[in-house]
Amino acid sequence: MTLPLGGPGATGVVRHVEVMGTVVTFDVRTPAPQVQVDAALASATRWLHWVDDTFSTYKPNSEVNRFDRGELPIDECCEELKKVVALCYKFNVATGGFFDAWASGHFDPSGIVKGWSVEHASGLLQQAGLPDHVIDGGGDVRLSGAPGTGRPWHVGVRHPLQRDAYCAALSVMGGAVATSGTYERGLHVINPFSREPATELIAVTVVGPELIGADAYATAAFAMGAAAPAWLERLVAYEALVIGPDGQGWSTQGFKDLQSALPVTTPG
Amino acid sequence: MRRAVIATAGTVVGLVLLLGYRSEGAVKVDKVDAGAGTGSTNPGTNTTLGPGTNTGTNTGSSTATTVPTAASSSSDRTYTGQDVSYRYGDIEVAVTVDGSRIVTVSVPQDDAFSPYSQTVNSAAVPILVREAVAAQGLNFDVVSGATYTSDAFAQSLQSALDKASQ
Repeated sequence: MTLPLGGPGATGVVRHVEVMGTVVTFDVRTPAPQVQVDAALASATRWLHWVDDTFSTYKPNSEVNRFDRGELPIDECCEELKKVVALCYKFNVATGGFFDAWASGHFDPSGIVKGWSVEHASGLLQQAGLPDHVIDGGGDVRLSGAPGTGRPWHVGVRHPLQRDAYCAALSVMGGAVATSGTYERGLHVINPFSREPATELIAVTVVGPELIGADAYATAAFAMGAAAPAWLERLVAYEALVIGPDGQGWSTQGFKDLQSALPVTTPG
Repeated sequence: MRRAVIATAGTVVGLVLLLGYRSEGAVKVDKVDAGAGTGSTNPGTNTTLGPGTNTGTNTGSSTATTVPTAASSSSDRTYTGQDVSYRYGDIEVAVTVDGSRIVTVSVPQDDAFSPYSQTVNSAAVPILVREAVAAQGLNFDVVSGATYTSDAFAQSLQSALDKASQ
């Protein structure tokens, strides 16, 4: 029995880091001396821990909490926090208000920070001469370069109701895949208009060129509920899969195309 | 045969635990260091259950997820860990051991998950079962959609292992 892990011919260096309340996995495929890979991964790991310290809403004296309490004016915040605040506004507008870092009554940019910090970590690896890698931030993934041997990346989408099964298999040349669903964290997405946890959908997966948007759009679509498919259909450069409360799957045509590139059948 | 390794570093329980999974189905404990205060020895290599480490074959409608599989024998004994609350629900991990060998690790309870399985007709969602995936020679580089909160899983697993070693 072969495990559906690692992909064919995978020989990468895999490293796991516990940070931001989840696990970030680095899988570097660029052939390089161990010392070069170690240094790059150490740098990326330091970055993620710094982000955790700065942006954790669970640490009372984190910069994000001091900003939220009004103790730290925005012009005294670090450049990274200013950037994240700007991204929160940007995606609030881009999602018609459904992505809302203020939905809980406090400023909680967690829905942006994970994708943004993983994007930056991917950039650090590229700058360190390791262009071929995948970073998995707790199920939200950033794919860079190629996995090896000229083939595309093979990405599984975990089935929302059966942990050992997949509901989609994608073939992508790079970019990002983000999933928002009740199965990961329970009822954790707040509909900013009703102020209630979003319960209309089981899961939303968004594929796109980068992780910040893919993650924010998946979260926003999840909050939208039944309105999500029509909204996702209009997004440019992002494709999506929505699993509804009746267990029915819906996807954009582009998402179907990414699937049909793989020799997959669905039993049953 | 590719070997998947599950390693959990739970600073909460002061534990460094490394489970090696072999595709023949048996899981054995390569290293268990439960000494107080040992914590994690190498933060850069900390591992926990993430996408892809879930290696079970349970594809039925039950919410329980069996991780590794092996032929059960009459000497198998199952120990259930404490129900650990985490941010978004509860988790309870059970281990079945045969002597000092772990036969299965399963999650009979996960409150954040189960309400949906009761109301949703899961058969309506296209399902790619991992055996089917493997049979087609398709391997994933990575998986989107996360699994358990690591600390809660490690905590419950450790309490189950503690019971098993008593």
